[in-house]
Amino acid sequence: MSYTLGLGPLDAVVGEVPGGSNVVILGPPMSHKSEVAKILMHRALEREEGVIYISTNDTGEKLLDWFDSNGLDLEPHGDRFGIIDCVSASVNVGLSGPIHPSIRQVNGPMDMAGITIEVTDLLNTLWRKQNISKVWVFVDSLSIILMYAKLPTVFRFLHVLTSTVRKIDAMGMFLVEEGMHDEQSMVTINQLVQGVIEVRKDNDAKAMRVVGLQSTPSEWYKYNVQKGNIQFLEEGP
Amino acid sequence: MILPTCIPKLDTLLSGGVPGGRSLLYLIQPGIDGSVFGLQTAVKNIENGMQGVFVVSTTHPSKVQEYVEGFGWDFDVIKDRLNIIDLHSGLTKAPSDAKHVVDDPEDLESIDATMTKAIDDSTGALLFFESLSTIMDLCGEERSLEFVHRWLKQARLNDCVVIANFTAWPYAEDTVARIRDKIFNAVVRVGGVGERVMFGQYYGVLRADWLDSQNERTLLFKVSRPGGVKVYIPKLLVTGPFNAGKSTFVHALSNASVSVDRLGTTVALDFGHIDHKEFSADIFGTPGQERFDPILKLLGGQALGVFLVVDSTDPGGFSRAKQMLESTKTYDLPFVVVANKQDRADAISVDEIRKQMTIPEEIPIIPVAAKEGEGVYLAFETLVDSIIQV
Repeated sequence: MSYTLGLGPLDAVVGEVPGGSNVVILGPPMSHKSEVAKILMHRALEREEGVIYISTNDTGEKLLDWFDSNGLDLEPHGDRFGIIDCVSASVNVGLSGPIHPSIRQVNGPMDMAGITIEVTDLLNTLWRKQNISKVWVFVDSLSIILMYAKLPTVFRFLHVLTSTVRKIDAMGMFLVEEGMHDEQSMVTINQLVQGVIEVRKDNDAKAMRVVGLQSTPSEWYKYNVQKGNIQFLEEGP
Repeated sequence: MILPTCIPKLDTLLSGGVPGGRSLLYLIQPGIDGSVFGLQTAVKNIENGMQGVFVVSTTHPSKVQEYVEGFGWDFDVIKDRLNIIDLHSGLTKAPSDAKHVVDDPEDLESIDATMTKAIDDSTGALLFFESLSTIMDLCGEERSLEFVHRWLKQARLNDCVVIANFTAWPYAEDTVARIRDKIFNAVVRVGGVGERVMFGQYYGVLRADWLDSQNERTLLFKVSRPGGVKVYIPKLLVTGPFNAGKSTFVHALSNASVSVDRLGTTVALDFGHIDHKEFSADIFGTPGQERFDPILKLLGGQALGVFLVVDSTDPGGFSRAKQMLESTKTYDLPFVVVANKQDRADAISVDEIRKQMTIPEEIPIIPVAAKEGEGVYLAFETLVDSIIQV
């Protein structure tokens, strides 16, 4: 089993990514990493793949609003994705429970046991009830979890999550803020992943490249994110 | 004093529960919805009059009420007998109404001072660690275990029973071994079934130092909201001759059910799900007409027990009923005979049915009027008891 990243010229460089891969999306603030992840989620759903989106930044409701306001319709895919909302319960806005059947709430970004339980349950639903074996697992973002918990704790959680991704030939995507973590944290994270999508921002220009999914790092490709779409400004090889 | 765990069948496996002064750990595989085990043991015993101390480390104490009520348990009944040690608010700096708040939950000395006082003030109480692994994550594995060992010793001197949930993250092997084999008096493993995706959950006693011999039986479970932990039986089969009332029985027994039928008779299967007392089960009903016999074996596959439904007013169908038991290839499974339509004046007695069908004495025959819902739960409980045998 393999996956298409859905990133234009980078797909041409990397080709299909083997199932069971875990990939970090690494970039500075304001480089639209989260928007890229959400667009990849929608593209996967359009290909009739399943998605589990662990949101530590935004409430589930806000996430759904983003798709809506960017013209990315999730309604046709409602039974193929689940959002694990790590925000609402911790700020008490979720007292009445989730507003959408695809949203599950956990206690907060520290509640890694709760996140893992929901991932297990969603995978069971996607695999056994929906018969979907191609599944993406997004963590947006790992940096927030690292803010709340110690590195060894996050390592154990990531060990379980990345092992699950490997076992079921899924595709794991972990968003990380560049410059926010010390070297030890980055080394620890990189031990558990097979590749990195690096995103950079120079003045107004944004660019991304892939490191680790092929023998040498790819070129940097300039891109823009607008209205739910990633536009690359140059062709791939 | 023996404190029941209030987890279905677990007290039987533990010879009644946890003796006073002892400790029980629920060792939970990551990804398994097992935190309810400790909560259920704690809440049910406080409901029954015990004093309780909850050590809350994964969430704000104000959420405890929400969790308890999420399982349909009445928080008002326990709140006056419950003290909370708050190991969470200190991390988020959120205000807390808990009786004991540890300002720095990453400092074991601070936790220890609070724990020592709480245990001293709570002779004979139930002490519940909502997540021991979280304390270890915050304070370090080795040192945390030293303190846990000390608290358990102090609890024993004060005749407290200690219950703890522990998520078995990939800690160092010797840490897990110490928790699993040494620190607690008893360990109940809560794990998942499935190699790639976990499609089932089980529990069983790993060890208990007050037992002479150990029952290694494991039980599948589901977590119901409301309800808590229930023993789960993935497949019970309902079979029997045409017009015996199989579909009516499935519908009468089930909380939710569906039938694939045509012109009022089942042409594929009936399916129902039941949550009753401490059990949860999926029920599959077969068609009764002979033309569907080729699919009976398929429908009977992987069943754990069988309801053989017969029409008590139609002895002519009895031989067909026994034949169906063979056609479903389930004759070696536990089964009960459901003597349906016992409300009808022309129904023959259970004894007469046993005689005419030559059913051995050890096989239960349950008088049922499925249309009225009479006897259906007795039939269910009887079959489940013979399957579980704990």
